[in-house]
Amino acid sequence: VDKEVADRSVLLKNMLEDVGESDKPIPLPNVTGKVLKKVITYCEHHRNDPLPQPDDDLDDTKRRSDDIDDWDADFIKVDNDQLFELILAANYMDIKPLLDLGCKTVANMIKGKTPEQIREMFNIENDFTPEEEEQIRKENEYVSLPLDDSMMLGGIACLLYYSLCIANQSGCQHYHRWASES
Amino acid sequence: MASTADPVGIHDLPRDLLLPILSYLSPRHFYGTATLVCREWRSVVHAAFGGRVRVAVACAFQIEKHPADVDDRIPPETKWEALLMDRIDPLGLRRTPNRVYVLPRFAPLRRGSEDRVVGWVAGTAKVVFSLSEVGDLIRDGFAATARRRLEASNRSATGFEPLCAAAWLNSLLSDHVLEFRNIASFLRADACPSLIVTSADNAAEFWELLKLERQPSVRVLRLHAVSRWSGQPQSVPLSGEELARLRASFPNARTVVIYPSEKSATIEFEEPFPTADAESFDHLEIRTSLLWPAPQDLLSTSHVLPFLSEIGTYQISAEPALVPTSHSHDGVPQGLPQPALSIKVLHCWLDTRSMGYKAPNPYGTWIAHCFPNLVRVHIALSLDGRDNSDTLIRADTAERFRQLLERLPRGVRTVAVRPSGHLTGLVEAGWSGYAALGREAGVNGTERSLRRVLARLCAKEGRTLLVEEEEIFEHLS
Repeated sequence: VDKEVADRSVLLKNMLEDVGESDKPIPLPNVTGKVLKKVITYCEHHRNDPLPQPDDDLDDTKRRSDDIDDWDADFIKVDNDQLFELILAANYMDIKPLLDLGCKTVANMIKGKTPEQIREMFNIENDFTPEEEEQIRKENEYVSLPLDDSMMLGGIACLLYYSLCIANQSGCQHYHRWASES
Repeated sequence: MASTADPVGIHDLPRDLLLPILSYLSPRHFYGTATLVCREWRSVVHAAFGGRVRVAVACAFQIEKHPADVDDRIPPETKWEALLMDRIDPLGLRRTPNRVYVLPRFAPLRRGSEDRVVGWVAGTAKVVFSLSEVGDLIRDGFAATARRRLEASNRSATGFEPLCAAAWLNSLLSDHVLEFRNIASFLRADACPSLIVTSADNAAEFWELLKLERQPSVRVLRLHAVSRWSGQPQSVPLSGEELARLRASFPNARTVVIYPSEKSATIEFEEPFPTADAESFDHLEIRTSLLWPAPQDLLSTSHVLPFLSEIGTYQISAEPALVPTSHSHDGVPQGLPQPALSIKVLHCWLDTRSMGYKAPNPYGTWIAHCFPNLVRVHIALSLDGRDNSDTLIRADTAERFRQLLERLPRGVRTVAVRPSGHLTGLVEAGWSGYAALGREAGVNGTERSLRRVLARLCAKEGRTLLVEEEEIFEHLS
């Protein structure tokens, strides 16, 4: 790997600056070969990108996850195991753009899911007691129950109501027919 | 959180990586869904914001959807802890933590709900309260009531954050909420705002009123124009003498933002500021839709206020005022004043609705020369979907944007764009210009995303695009 690519990693960049010109391999004990290969692919593709600046973090309040470009989106299409390994590697090797990409991807997977779906997707155990969960749901009812859902519930209720009305009306007709026949 | 047989899973991520992931979620998912997944996630969310934010977003969401029913849906006041709404910025306090923005257009609450809201205000610390332009909730007794509640709850009146971090002065005036002459004392004695917002309608009068009494709580002074301004041309004087008076009235103000009214207002901007005031301000921002102030004027300002780090706003399309006296053969403007080295952040305005196509746009070159140490540029991108017949304007605007990017100083890593106007209308009606530019930028011509087009353009220049949403509820719905 040439230096320009290695420099995408702040960890490697600092290590290279510390050891100077050397042919000695640099150990990366926390990164498997498979993941490292993937990381290198990323760094090679982004070798000419500007390095992240400290100023880039100023606007953390306005973080978005839908600004992933096509190459990155394709690159990050991996299974969950590898995705989290990539995130850990990016964190360890201090490659902020890759870390951001991983975080955004996970966030995009979470978006729109219910807590149950999130648990299932990531094999997370629900360690709340039923009482705790109920309490949290109550606390968050204004957040966790989207208006659309409540509308949907309302819609279902309306459907049921109209069904009953129709059934009732139909029943009445049957009754009237039965009554008149009898 | 339990671990499973998976080699690596989200449960293997350290806690300090979980928050960055969750922080990409919309507020509703962040506060609502993530807290319900497991204890670990809940603790991460609460640790991030102290658990003070959980109901607010949903409430705003419902205010928007069902304004008439909102008071029926407000949770009991014990549940009102604080409100955090990202990307609403009617008062320009984007970076204020634990802030509350309730836009006037989502108000008003029904009468009778004030009591609950007052209770909520009393239970919160940092509140930006601009609920209604009709002033329903900012009555003369409002602040006093909230303060009494606060004191009753054993919280020292002197130990809490200002009750109203911002006061929308127009609200005070409308419906004759307060006698005009009492406003200054109200602000000083009751509201204690750290920020004052008014409109140019009454700017001159407010200006005089506010100076009658010292306003030590005010840290940000913002004179705000409203677009519906219809009075006579008005002048907001800002001469050296006026600035000296300003400092006397607002001894702790370090930020001054002035929005002159559209078209007719003028500002008498005289140089120099008194030397004694030169170190007093961190931030001077003058927003205008006029050709004024020309860069030379703001540049002069930055020279006499050498500690300024942030400055703006220019109307980019006002090129006649921006063209330097001459250009050398390589396009470098000649006859420019000395660059302002202290300025790191520039706010400017790119208006799509005016001017025809002109190239090359000298504005970026100007900026690069005048403010060589910029690291960030905020661009207010005015869009008007109603202007749907002239797609050339769209192309022109995008082209201007591209040219501006090309010419910005290399140190500018972040370009923050805040679309204003009717973005939806733009997408529906006048997209072809952007689509054409999008194709050039490598974006699918049918891609109807302003963000993607601009992001591509920024990426080509090696810069990061931040889109500052005008419409908060996009990500809540």
